[in-house]
Amino acid sequence: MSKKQIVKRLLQIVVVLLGISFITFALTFMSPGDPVRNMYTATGVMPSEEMIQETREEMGLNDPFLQQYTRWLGNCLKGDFGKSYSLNRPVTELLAERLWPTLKLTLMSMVMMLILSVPLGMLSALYKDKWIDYLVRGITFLGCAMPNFWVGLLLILAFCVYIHAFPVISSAGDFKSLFLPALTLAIAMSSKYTRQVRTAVLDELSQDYVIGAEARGVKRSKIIWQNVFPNSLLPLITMFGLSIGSLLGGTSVVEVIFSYPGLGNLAVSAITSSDYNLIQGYVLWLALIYMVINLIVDASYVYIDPRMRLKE
Amino acid sequence: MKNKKREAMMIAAATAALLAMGITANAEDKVLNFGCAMYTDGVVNSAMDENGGWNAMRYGVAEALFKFDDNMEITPWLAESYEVNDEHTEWTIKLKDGIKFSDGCDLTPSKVKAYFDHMKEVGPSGSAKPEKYLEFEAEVTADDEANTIFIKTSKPYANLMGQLCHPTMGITDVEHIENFDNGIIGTGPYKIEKFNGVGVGYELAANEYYREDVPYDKVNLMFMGDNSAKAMALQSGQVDLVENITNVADIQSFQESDAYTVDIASGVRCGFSWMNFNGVLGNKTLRQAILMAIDNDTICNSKTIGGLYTPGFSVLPSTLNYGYDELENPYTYDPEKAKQILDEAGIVDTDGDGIRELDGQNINLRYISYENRLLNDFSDAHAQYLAEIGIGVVPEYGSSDDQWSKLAALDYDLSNNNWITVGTGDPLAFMANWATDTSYCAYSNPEYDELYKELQSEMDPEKRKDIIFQMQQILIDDAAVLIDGYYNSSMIYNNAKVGSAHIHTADYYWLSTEIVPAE
Amino acid sequence: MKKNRFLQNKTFVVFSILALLIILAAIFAPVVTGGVDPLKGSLVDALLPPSKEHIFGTDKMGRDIFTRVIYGARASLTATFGVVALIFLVGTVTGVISGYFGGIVDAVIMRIADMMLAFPGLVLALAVAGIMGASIKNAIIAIVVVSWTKYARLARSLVLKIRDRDYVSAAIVTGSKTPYMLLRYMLPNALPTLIITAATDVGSMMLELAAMSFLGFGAKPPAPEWGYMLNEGRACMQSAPWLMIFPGLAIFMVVVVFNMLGDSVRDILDPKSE
Repeated sequence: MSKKQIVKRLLQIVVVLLGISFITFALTFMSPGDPVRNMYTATGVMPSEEMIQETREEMGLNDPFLQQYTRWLGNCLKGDFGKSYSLNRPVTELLAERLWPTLKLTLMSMVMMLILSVPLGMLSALYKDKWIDYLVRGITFLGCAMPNFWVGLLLILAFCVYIHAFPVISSAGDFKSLFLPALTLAIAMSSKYTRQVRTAVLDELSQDYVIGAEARGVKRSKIIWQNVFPNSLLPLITMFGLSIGSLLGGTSVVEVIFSYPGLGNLAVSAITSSDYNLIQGYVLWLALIYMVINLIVDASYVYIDPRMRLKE
Repeated sequence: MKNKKREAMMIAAATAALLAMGITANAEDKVLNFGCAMYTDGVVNSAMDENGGWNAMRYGVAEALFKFDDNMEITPWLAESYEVNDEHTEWTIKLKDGIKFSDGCDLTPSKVKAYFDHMKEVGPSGSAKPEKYLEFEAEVTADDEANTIFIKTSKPYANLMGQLCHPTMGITDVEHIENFDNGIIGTGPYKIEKFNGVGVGYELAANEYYREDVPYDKVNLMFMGDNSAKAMALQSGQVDLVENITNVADIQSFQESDAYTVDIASGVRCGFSWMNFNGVLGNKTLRQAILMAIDNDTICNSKTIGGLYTPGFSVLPSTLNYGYDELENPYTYDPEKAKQILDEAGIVDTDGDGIRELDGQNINLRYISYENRLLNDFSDAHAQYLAEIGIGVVPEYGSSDDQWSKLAALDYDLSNNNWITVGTGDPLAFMANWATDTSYCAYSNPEYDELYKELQSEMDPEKRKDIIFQMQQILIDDAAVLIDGYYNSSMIYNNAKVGSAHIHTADYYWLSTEIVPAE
Repeated sequence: MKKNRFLQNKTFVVFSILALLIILAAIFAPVVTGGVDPLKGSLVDALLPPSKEHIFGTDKMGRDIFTRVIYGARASLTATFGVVALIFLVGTVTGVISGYFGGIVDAVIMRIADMMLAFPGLVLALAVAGIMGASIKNAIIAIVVVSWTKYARLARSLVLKIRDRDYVSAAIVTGSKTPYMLLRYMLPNALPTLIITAATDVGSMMLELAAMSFLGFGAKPPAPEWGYMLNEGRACMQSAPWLMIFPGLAIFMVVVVFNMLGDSVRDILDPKSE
C-alpha cells in the first residue's frame, strides 16, 4: 500500500473513532443514573444534595455537553480514560490487563477457523454436488443456526464435566483453558466462513481461464493450486477481515460462559454495573483494535495481489 | 497452504511445550486448589475497602485479636485475654507471645497500634468504615514490655472485643506493606505470593513463621464467576475445595456422592428485602398484605432454594439466642386474607388489568436485587406470589454495587440483600438499620428508637436480650421488612484431596490450619 | 409469472409452511398450550423433569417450560421481525436517498454508514443497551442502530446502477417529481435484492437478540423469552438440563426454518447466485 493510502486509512480510523466516541458519550450523557451519586455510594458514603452538587461542579458535570465532550476527548488522547466506579481503578489499567487474554483467544479462534474453513470450503467447492459437498453444507448450515452460547454450554457439559478433558474455569490462560472457548467461537465463525470460502472458490472455478486451461490439457490439480487458490485468496481475505468483527463481539458471550478473564467479560460486568467510563473505554479500544486489524489485513493485499500495486 | 501448515505445526509444538511444563511442576509440594467467589476484585485492603478485610481474613492471611467460635462467643486469637473496667470504657488486652508476621517481624503491641493508626489515617477515604469497630476517638497505648494494649474509649461499649473480631480489624504489618490492595502482610497461616489479576485469583504460600504447622505448602486461590462454575470445577477436579455453592441440586448431588463431603453451617446471615417507606410502601395495609401473600416455607423448602435458607419472619436468625421462639407473627401465609384487607382498604383493581391501584396508579413495585446467594430467585418468587394478589412487580436486577447505591439513595420500592446480622457478635449494628437516623428505608418508629438508645448504653447481657427481643417484635408488627430466610453457608470438598474442612457460623474464616490434605 | 416460480420451488413451499406454523403457534399460544399461564407457577413444582403433565419440565419458579417456550416465540418473533423491518426501512430509505441525490447528502450518510460498519456490531449494541438500560425495546434499538448500514449500502448501489439509465433521464425531462421517481423507478429495482437480504437476516438477528437477552440486556424476568430462559437455565445446567435444552432447540429450529426460507427466496428471485 502506498504511503498515501495508509495515511488515508489512518485518517479514516480517526474519523470513525471520533464518531463512535461522540455517540457513546452522548448516550451516557442522556442516560438516567447519576455517576456522581454512584461514585459516592460505591464507597459507602451517603451524600447530601449539596455534596453532590459541589462534586458535579468540581468534575465539570454541569458544563455544556460539547465542553465536557472535548475535555473527555482530550483526556483520552493523553491516555486517561477516567476511573471505573465499580472497580475503583483507572480504566486504562483495567483494559490493558484484559487485552492480551482476549487477543490470545481471538487469535486462537482465528487459527482454528482457518484450519477448519479453508480446507472444508475448498473441498466442498471442488467436489460440488457430491456427498462431501452436501455434508459440509449441511453441517455449516446447522452451525450457523445454533446460538454460540448454547454451543459453548453444551461443550462444557460434554468435555468438562462428563469427560474431564478440559478445565471449567478458563482463567489460567494456558492452551488447555483456551481450547474450548476458542472452539466455541470457531464453530460459529467457521460455519459462516466455510460457506463463503466455497462461494469464492466456485466463482473462481467458473472463470474462463479455468475452462480454457482444462481444454488445453493442463492437469486439474495444477490449475487449482497454482491459479484458483491464489486468486480466491483476495475475496477470502476480505471476508476474513469482516468476520473479525463478529469474532470480537462473540468473545463477550463466550468469555462470560467460560469465566475467561478477557475484555468481553469485563465489558459485560461494566454494563451490568452501569460503569459508563469503563463502557466507553471498552468501546473505543475495541473499535481501535478492530480497525487496526483490518488495516493490516488490507495492507496484506498488496503482497498477495500484484494487481493492487498496479492500481496505484 | 504452506503457510497454514507451518502455523499449525507451530501451534502444536507450543502446545506440547506448555503441557510438558505443566507436568513437571513440583510434585512434592502439597497444594490446595480453592475455588471461591470474588468480592471487590479480591482486594485485601482491610482498612479501606469494605470487603478488603473479609478477603484478607478469609484467605488465611490476616488475623484479628479475637475470633468467634461457632456459638458466636468471643475466643482468643492474637490476644490471649482482656480486662475491662465496670464502666466499659477502658480495656487492657494481653497479646499472645511469640507471634510473627509472615515477613518475620514480631507481633508487638506497637505493631497493633500502628495498624489502628493506619486505619484512622486512611479510613475516612474508604468504604470500610473502621470507626464502626474502633472509634477514632479511642486512645490506644502500646506497652511492648508487658505485651499489652490499653484502649480508652470516649463512651461505653458493651461489646468492644466483639467489634475487634470483625474482619476489618485483621492486624497487618503496616510498616512493611508495599501493596495494600493485593499484597498485605499478616500473621495468618498463609501469605500472598502473587496476585494473578482481577477475576483470576491469588497464589498463596505457607507462612514459615506461623506458630503451628501449616498443612499446605501452596494454595491456589481461584475466583469462580458463579455457582455452576464452582460446582463444575469441583467435579472436574480443577479445584479441591469450594465455599458456598448455592445451587440446591448441585449440593444434593455432592451430598449423595461418597467422593465429596458437604459441610453446612446454619449461619448468621439474613436475606431480607427492605421496604421503602418513602414511597407507596409507606402504606401499612399494603405491607401487611405483601407479607401475608408470600409463603416463605414453600419457597425455602422448594427445589430452587432447597434448604440453603431456613424460613423465618424476624430480622434476626432463629438460631441466635434472642427469643425467636417467643416472637409472634401476625402475618402468616394467607393470600385470601391479604386480598381481603386490600379490598377493605379500597386498594382494588378498577381497570381490570389485574393490578390493584393506590391513589389512582397501578401498584408496580420496583424490586432491586442482585445475583448472590439466590437473592434473585427469592425476588422472582416474591413477584410470582404478589402477582396472585394483584400487586405488580418490576424487577431491576443488577450488580451488588448497583443495589447498594440505589438503597443508599432510597431509589427503590423493594430491595433484596443478604447481610450478616451479628458481625461483631452482637446485633447492635444490625438493628441500627431501622433506627430513624441510620435507616436505609426511611422507617421511623419512636418506640424503636427509644429501645435502640437504651441498647446502646445497656451493658447487662440479660437486659440486652430483652431489649432486642422487643425491637424484633416491633419490626414484625409494623410489617417493616420482607424476610427471605436465614442463609446456611457451606463448604464442599473432594475427599481424595482434602482430609477435612469446616465452615464456621461466622463466615469470616475460610482458609485456616483446620483444612488439611487427605491422607 | 412470479407466483409460479415461488410455488414451484419445493424448499420454499415446505419452509414457508413451517414458518407459518411457527407464527401461528406464537399467535395462538393460549390454544397450543391449553390455557396454561406462562407467568404462573408454584414453587412446589420447581425444577420437575419432563413428564406427561409438563412435557418440557418446569423451571426454577415452577412454571411450565413448554408453555414458556411457545409464548417465548411471541417475544422472539416480534422482536426479530421488528428489528428486520426497522433496519430494512431505515436502511433502504437512507440508501435510496443517498444514491439518488448524491453529493453532500450521499457523502454524509455514507461516512456515518462506514462508521457503523467499521465496528463489531454486538459490542456497540451491548454498550448501547447497557447505557440505556436493559429491556427488549432498547435491545431492538441497539441492534437496529448497528445493522442498518448493510441495507443502506445495498440500496444505494442498486439505485446508482439505474440512476443514469435513459428512461430515468427521460422521466426527469418530462417533469416527473422526485418522490415519484423514487417510488416508481428506484425502489422496485432495489426491492428484490433487499428482500432477499432481509429474509436471510431473520436468522442472524434472532441469534443476536438471543445473545443480548442471554447476557441480561434484553428481556427481563418474568417474561418468557428464549435467550433469557437460557440464562436462567445455565445455573441448573447439570441438575436440570431441560431448562437449557428446550429453549436452545427452539432458537435453533426457528433459525433453521427462516434461514432455509431465506435461502429459497434467494434462489427464486436471483437464480444466478449460489
